[in-house]
Amino acid sequence: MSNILTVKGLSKRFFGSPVLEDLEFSIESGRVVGLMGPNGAGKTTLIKILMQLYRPDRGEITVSGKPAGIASKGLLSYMPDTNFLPSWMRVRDAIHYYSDLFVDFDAERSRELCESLHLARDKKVTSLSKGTIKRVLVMLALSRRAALYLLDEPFAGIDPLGTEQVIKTLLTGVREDSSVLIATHQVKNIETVVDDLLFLNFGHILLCDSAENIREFRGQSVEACYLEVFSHA
Amino acid sequence: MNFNPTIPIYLQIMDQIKRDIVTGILAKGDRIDSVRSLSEKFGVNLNTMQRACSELERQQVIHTQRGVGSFVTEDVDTIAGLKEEMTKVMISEFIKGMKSLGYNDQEILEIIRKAVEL
Repeated sequence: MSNILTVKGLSKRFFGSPVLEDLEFSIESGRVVGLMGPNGAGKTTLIKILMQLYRPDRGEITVSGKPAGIASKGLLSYMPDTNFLPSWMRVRDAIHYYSDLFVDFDAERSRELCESLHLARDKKVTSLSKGTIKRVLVMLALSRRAALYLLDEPFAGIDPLGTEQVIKTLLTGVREDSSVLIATHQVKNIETVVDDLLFLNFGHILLCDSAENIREFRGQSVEACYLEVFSHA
Repeated sequence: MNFNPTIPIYLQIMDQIKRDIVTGILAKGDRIDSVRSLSEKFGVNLNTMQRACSELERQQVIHTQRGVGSFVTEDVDTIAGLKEEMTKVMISEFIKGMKSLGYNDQEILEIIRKAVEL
């Protein structure tokens, strides 16, 4: 299987203090990867570096076999952990905004996603609850035909029903050869969703394995493994 | 479906499908859903579902016809084998549990006989 993303020797410091240190990992195409770690682990920093919003101090990033650059940006679809949509927008304005910005935006797909995530297209973004805004951001990110989706905390602030809808969308809405990286600390939600796990703790990778391996060889649930690995870190 | 999070999920799905075949929910020769719709039904990701299906295919419980779909085996011996395998697991777990309670073979047989006659 080919790698959609390869990271080698990636390091980043903020004001002299290390945030990411010498990270090495790769993501195969068609996999759903959980990027897990406590607050301040470096999850968001890593995703922002992958999106080229931050510049790494050292290290190499390869997307689909080519060094990360302007062209590779088009292969990545990013869902930030905060709402960035201007307050005047309605959901349908946001959809138009995205379809103007991205050539791979699929309007038909966005309609389907609005339906499965129960989003009303004529609602103003400011009138929506925190959880609904999250679902709008998920809808926008997944409406693109990207090779890799980077979702930063897609479950934060969503009620159980909304979480269920997002998970279902992740299971059914992503093409077979596309990969997804989900940054979250909500372990239970992604137990049956992810193929691989990447445990990140203060800039270091503690564990990188498939979820089935954790269950098969450690005899642990992902949650139990998370607790064990991080409490001994 | 509720999964036991400490056992590989593809194994649990395989068990469920085998159980459906043995109990007749899936009849021999039945067409089974696509991997994508099965993954939605079980609430697991595509790769997990794919792995469960390829394992079932390797064990010849299902077979895939290119461009047509996947089907439950027509072979009655295979299906009987599944039932036998399931029975073995249940019985050995039961016996292990009874022995841990301190019963001997004779007593276990007696208890079963009484339970069945009731």
